Amino acid sequence: MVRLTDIPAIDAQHLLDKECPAFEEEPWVEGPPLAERRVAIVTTAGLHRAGDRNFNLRDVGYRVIPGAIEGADLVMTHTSVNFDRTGFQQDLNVCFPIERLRELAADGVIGSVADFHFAVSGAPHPAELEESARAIAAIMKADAVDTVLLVPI
Amino acid sequence: MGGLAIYFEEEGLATTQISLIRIHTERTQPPRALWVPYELGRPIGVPNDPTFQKRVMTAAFDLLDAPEGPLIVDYAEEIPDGAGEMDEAAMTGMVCPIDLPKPPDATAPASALGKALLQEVASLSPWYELAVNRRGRTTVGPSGMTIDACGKALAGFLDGSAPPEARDGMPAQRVLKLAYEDLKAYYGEAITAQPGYSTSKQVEDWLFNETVLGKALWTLRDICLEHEDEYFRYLGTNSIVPDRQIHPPE
Repeated sequence: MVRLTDIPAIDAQHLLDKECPAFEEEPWVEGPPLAERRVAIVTTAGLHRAGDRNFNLRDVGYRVIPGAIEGADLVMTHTSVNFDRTGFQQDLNVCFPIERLRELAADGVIGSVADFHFAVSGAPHPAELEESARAIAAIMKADAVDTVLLVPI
Repeated sequence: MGGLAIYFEEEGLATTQISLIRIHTERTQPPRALWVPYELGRPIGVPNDPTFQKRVMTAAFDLLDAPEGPLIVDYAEEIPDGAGEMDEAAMTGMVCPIDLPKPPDATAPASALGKALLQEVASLSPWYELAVNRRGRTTVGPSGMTIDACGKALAGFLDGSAPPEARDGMPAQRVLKLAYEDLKAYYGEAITAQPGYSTSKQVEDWLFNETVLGKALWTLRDICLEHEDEYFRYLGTNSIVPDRQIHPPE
């Protein structure tokens, strides 16, 4: 569990020391009822299709994950060794819940699943990911996405 | 993660997110966040439990109905005891876990470690193949090498006989990193096909303390920490052995 008391002191201190900038703006976008929303997933797990470029040490780019992706086609090249990978090895959905999202769409809980989802590697400072974030947003809007589920690793 | 949410909202997209490190979310203040009490690497909670996973996701989506924010909501559902363990049906036909080759002792030459590593990789192959067949996928592969080649790359670096070389625009250090990460994934997939390894800590303790690969990775870390090259020193410091193995909780 990620309670700071449950992890080694050195990791807890590292997390406390990590720079997390406060943003001056507090944007707040509303939308249609959940059953009408088109949803994309964005993960910081460093996931990508097996044939795509690996995420390297200071990679601030993004990778596109097609909505119809099969779990067998996804790998992870996030640099850190300080998070569990065995959950991902057993079930993609524990960190990239694409099958659950499809089921929620089939059940009418959400409106639809985006044609494209996105992955970055969570290691960089947030400001370094801004350019990728805005590029991803442009693609999502072109895909008629109105709602994003962000999933950390 | 929270910074991405703010950028997306600025672009006109509504966001909701899972939060694992609450203090980071408190600092960044994204519009909507569901803090979950799960370990890093498992933000949706329990592998192979669709009902559990959908409850987490639904709670995150419920935040979209909130009238105002930013808000951080704590999700109360803990991981149930025994979650992730295989049921009886899945274990049918399994035999007791295999015995792995004993790691060479500390005085053995590095070449002995490499030979033992390749034997160990081979001995795990039935379990790895079982895991792949059952799951229909593998996460082994980013190195672009066979698992034997990954073992040889690591062994070749340890004894200096055939260290990995740069290729495909990647420096040798990156090639080495991908090789040993593929080995870790191979071992992780193989051991979680056996009964009794339901938590990440169990797998990690086994890998780093009971296997030849673990011994090789500790040796690799020692070599990298003393290496003249900055990238190798980075690997040794941050990117081979998890911190909770180096500094186990008291």
